[in-house]
Amino acid sequence: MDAISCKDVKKNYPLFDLDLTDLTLPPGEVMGFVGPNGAGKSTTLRIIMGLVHQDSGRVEVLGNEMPRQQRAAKWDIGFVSEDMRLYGHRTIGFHLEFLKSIYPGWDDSYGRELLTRFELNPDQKVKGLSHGQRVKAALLTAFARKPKLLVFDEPTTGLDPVARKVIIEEMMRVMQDEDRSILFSSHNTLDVEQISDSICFINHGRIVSCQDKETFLDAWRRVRLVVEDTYTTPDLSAIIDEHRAGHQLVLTVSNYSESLAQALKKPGATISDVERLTLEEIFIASVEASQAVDRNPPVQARGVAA
Amino acid sequence: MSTDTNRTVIRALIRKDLQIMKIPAICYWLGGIGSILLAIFFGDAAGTIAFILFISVLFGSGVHAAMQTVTEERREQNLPFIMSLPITIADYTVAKMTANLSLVGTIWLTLSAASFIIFIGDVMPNGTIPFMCIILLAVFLAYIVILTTTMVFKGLAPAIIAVVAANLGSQAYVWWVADLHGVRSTVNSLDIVWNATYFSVLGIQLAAIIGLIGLTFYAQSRKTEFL
Repeated sequence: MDAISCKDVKKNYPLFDLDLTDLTLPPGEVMGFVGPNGAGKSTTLRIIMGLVHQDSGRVEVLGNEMPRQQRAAKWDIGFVSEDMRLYGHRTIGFHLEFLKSIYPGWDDSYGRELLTRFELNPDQKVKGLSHGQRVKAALLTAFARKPKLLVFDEPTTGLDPVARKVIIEEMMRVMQDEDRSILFSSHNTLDVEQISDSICFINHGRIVSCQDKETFLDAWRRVRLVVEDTYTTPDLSAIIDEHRAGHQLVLTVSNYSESLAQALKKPGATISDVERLTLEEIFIASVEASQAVDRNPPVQARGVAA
Repeated sequence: MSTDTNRTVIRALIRKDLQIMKIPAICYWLGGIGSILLAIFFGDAAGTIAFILFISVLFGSGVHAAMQTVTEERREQNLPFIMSLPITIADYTVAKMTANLSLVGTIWLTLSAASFIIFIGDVMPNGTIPFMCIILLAVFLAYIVILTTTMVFKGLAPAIIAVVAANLGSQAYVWWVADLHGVRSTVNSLDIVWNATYFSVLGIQLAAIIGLIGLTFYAQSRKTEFL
């Protein structure tokens, strides 16, 4: 049973359409959900949580059909979003007691352990916390439930590097439980690259690419070529971006292989270097390519899928 | 998940709201008692002030409860935290309405009951009692208008419009009722007179309260987005 399964999910708004053909998170996996602002990340996560109802399509979370069975599903989900706030005039302890009164299997000692690890005082009011501490407190309320699935919508946004490190480390610790799955949306590709098993790119409401991290990172390359004046770049779907300056040609390719290298050399070129790309570079190239396809489909549609 | 566990979550949500509103509720209740004492001991001199204070306390407690537990929760972005719990929109609505109605209902009911002490003395004629019932129920209806509006509509603007409309509307309504023949002809009598006018007006008010609560549950059940 997959932790999350979205099939042919559609949600239409006046100025935005979400169309998720297939989004699947296997159990025990950490998926980084990456996309630019307005791509549809939050809407997708809200549909997964049952807070927004899809117009059509099937969403299953931990074997429960959403939104119909959201009550059953949410017993095993920890959710934190960037726009989620705890009660400002109440203490962290108030929130933990509140959750304890709901979750029968609440583990007090784990709650205390998390408080220590996050350096949070249970008697402190939420309104007096710094932004980093508030995020930690919100994450604490999700972690302490010991859920089977964690859904995070931009949890590290606005955090300083030290606070981010603590949170990422805690996420990695939580991941040690092999049965726990995490869907983690973020602008911060460094965080995603650090903790994810698989990566899903979304843009303009559509999944651009979904793959395991190693395959993903391995497939994308920057190829530097020295070309003749008469060189014409082959029309290959794997070529996402190209920059030419005199005899220097730099190509960003999404599906690098030896046969692709041969195809590039054939019209009269020498490969001077092949570099791996960071997730951030892949993200930017993917989004730019996707935007180019939207702007001018017949000419630029070289296929953005890795 | 079983109905029992569902009730556990709803009970926890109700307790949470009652805890948040505990101190303001006590203050409003004490304010209401103070206004009744003012009417009893300084009835001749401070009767009008005591009455205005009493109605303001009843109205204020309702506005405060609805704004604090519904509008403020949404404005302060606490709703994603609440909706991350194992509940549906229907559970949330049941919890929120129950917490609000039990809290404000208790204040309204106890203060309303206490206010009838003033009729033991000769401060006001007994004929005023049925009209007093209409006024008290009108205040509760005004609160229901505010609560249901804040539940169904997002944002501060609908809440403020509801408060203003409920305040002005209930005053105009009470003036209109006071001018009805069945009320005008009996309100100053020394004995209580219950006639068809009083029963009709109270019945309409009660039906409006039940209808608005029912409409709120219906509107909430139709929502496809809840944040």
